[in-house]
Amino acid sequence: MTARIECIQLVKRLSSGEKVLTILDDINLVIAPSEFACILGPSGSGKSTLLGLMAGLDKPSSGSVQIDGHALETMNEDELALMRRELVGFVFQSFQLLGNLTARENVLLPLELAGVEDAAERTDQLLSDVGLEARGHHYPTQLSGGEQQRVALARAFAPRPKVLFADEPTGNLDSETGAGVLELLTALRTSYGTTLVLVTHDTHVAALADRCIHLKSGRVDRDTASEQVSLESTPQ
Amino acid sequence: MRLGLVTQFIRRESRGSRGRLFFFTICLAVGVAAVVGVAGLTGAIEDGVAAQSRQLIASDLRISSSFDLPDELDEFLAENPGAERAGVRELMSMVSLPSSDENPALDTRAQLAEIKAVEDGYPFYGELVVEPPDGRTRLDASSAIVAPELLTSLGLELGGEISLGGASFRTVALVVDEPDRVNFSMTLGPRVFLTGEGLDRTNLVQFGSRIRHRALFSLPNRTPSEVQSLAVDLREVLPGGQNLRIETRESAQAQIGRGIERVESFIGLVALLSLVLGGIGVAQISRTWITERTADVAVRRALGFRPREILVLYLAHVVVLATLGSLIGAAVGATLPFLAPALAPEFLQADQISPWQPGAILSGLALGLSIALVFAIPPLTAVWRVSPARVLRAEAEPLPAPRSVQIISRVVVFLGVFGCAYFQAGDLRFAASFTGGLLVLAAVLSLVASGVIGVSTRLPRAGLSPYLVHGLGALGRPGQGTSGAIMALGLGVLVVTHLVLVENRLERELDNLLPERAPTAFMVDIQPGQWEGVLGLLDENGATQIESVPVVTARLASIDGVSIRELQEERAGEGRGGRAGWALSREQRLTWLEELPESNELVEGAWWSDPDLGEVSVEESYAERLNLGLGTELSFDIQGIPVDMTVTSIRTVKWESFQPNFFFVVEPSVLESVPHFRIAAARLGEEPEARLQSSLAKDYSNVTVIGIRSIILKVSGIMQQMALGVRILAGFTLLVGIAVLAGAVSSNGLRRAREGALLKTLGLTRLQVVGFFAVEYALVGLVAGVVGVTGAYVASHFFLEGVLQLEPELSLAIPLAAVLLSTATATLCGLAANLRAVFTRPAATLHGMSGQTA
Repeated sequence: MTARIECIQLVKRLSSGEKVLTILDDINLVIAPSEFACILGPSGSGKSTLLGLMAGLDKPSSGSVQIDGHALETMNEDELALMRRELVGFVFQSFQLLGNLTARENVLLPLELAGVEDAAERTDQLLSDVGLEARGHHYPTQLSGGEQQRVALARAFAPRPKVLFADEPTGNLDSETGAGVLELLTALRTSYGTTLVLVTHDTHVAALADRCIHLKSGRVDRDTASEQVSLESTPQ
Repeated sequence: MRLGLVTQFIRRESRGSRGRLFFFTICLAVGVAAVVGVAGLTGAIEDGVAAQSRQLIASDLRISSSFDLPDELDEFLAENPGAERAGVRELMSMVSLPSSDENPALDTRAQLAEIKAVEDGYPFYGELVVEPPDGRTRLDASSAIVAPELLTSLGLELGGEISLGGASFRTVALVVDEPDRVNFSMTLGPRVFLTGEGLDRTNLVQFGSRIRHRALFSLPNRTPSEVQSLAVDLREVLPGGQNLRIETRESAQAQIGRGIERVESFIGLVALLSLVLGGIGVAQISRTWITERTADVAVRRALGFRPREILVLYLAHVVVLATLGSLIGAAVGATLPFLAPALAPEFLQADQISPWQPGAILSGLALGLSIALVFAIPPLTAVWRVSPARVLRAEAEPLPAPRSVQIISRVVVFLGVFGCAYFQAGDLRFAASFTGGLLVLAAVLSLVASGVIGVSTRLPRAGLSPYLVHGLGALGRPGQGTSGAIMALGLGVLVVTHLVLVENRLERELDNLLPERAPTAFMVDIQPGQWEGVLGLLDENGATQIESVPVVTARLASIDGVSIRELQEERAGEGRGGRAGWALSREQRLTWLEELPESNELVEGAWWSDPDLGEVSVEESYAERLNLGLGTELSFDIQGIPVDMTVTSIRTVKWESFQPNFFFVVEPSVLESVPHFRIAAARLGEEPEARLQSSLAKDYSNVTVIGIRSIILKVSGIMQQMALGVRILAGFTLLVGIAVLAGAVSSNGLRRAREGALLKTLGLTRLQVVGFFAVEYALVGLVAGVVGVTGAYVASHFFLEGVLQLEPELSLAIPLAAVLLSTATATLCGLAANLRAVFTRPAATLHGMSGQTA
């Protein structure tokens, strides 16, 4: 289950008092199905904003985002919600687990929403895949940061999304725990063939990606995909 | 969305939300208890009345008149085999002790009593319960059955003798219960039962005596609808039928039912007010709840929940909480009909009401649920505004709520409140007035609260104590629900203060009702030949401002040649029966006077200006009611003789002067030779009045003395009891206001804990932290109190001047007390709700913020 993401002349502006800030300026990107793309850049370069636009969490000021040819800017909030329900998974820096649900219930939630028949079995399998089959009855406050992020991973992959967006998934974790989470993330991605777009400022994380898109001041500064193409097309 | 998803959400959302659960249920429970209590009690009384409907008139058919009943009723009896008849005569008279040379001190006691002379057969339904039980068998022409309070006021034991109408009667039993006397009606004196022969032994049955004649019929072979038809026929067939009061048990029951319904409509809306306030509390709690769940909502939207699906989840939770709160409230309210006879035994007796009222419980539950949903929907529509981008960026701008959602949520509130008001009152106009008034009140209160908060937060703070600086800043802090809590508490303060202000003013009005120069006693049924003697007794007892006028009883026969019957039918057809109809058919009391009385003022025409006419002057509002004007020709039936008169003047009357005043005053030459009796008014001290009563009871026993002081006392007592009932209901309103405030302050527990932790980190002691919070809540209570009493002052002013036509002259002490109480209550509530925040260690609080939501 995979999808292609295309950004066409994407612009995002925000008002800040009397000023208008251009967060993203004419972004043009294509992320191929099953590709693992990393978005890097310094703080304030627009990484998370670009992620939000691609995931349909936010609307651009102009331009278009298309997932498998469906233009997100033409959808209303209900249609975007349905799109996210069916196509998209998320992993966040701050985990974003629902505090009054147990680990198991957090993973189960998107499956219940989608009306999946074997929701309970899939939940148990995913918890086992992330090594938390014995902690399913614990609440997020009873789990460590790494364990919470693993629950978040299980939740993100539960509906078998075509695309997974991850926003600094190891940002709040120590290096060892982060490495473990990353390993799980890439393993699950490979297993499901999901297109993965990951925002990070960590070069070690970026090294695992198929492609790195560097943002600077709201523009694509470097794109290793085009560099690779360029490299391949350059006569040796 | 599957039901399983909803039930799981409810179960999960309930975890860790005991505070919300508690205040939500309290807000609703108090209001539902008030609504169920009122509905249950009125329903219990109505059912009780229905169950005892035959006893209401102690018969199947009752015919009453101030004159002798027509002989044709004997034919009626003959035409109905199996029918029985019992006569009853009722009148007021002075009762005293017989003259005694042995103990002259006893001679001074006399008591106005309600005399009821009954014939064999009475009552046909229900029972005249007396003590001892066989006392009824000993009632004869020389004995009486009396109410216990009569013996008490005369200082007499059972078996002793009383004197009334110049005859002595031996008391043989005490009245315990009388079937056709409704307990919650006003009575002027204790009951005395005589036989018909006993009454005839007295001198009370004379020309002009005000006796109510009744004929009670038992018609065992007739169905209720047949009896109803008979009543209609009798009105047509009997001579003067339109002047008779003909009642069946259905009509008597319906009349009481209408009275109960009117009371229920009013107090039901007062009870609904407390439930609506509870709804404001629900709105407050819902608003805080959804604000706390913003991150949660953002995650759900990111996961693919549509806004309306999230709304359904939260509303489902509201339904569960509302059901719980309503059940608790209904259980409490349902106990009121069971407790009422013990709380108000003089009004209600346990065997007269049916306390189990499932209908009231169900309607309370329905209202509680409806109000909760109506008030929860608007704040919960905030889910549309939560941007899913918030999962990436906490400062993500809120999304605009769809216009349709905004409009629908406002319409839901308006229609919901109106629907509940209509359901409660059963009257469109009441419901519309209640809803409109509430909306205006809420808007005004909200405006005033915002204004007061705005002013206080803009006050210069340099040089102020840090406690005040913090408190003033907290007042205006956005998003904390403070203004809503102030409005709710302020509304509760407004309602209670308004009621107390009005009641206080009315009590003072009653206390001062008697003008300085007003008479204190009226004497009625004085025969012409007795007047000199009565005057002598008045002079002996130092009476002043003595006034006496002649009275002739009459009935209107026609107006401008149109018979009264035709006019009644015409007005009934136009839906203008009621008071106008009563004015046409009632017994009229005419007097004649040479001069215009001091308390009267001519507004049209002239006083005795045309010697060729039989002139009559009419009181202005009475003339309006009967549609009379200058030149109207009136024909009166005076003891069977028609007497024609022409209206030559219209006047206003100062009824509050307590002078003898009349709707009709006739030019002296018209009626001077007509048989009449006299009434008199005089001013006496309390003791001389008691001596006069006693002397009159001895020497002129047919003369009835009505003491104004005792009537005012009685009215005042009844008003106080009614006011108590309304005040209790208003107290529910205040209680809900407090619950709303407590809910608002406790829902900010997390922020409060953080604040307390920070303050302690900065070096404040726990007592100082308590001081900070106390000042903050005191200011909330102060603002709520000021807003509430201001509204109460304005409302009372309008009500007293506009509706009751009294000078407001409102007390200042009451509003001041209300503000102090509001301040104290808010402070105590706020501190009690946040004590935990004060005593938690700072580290535990400051470390408690991490990456999970809620």
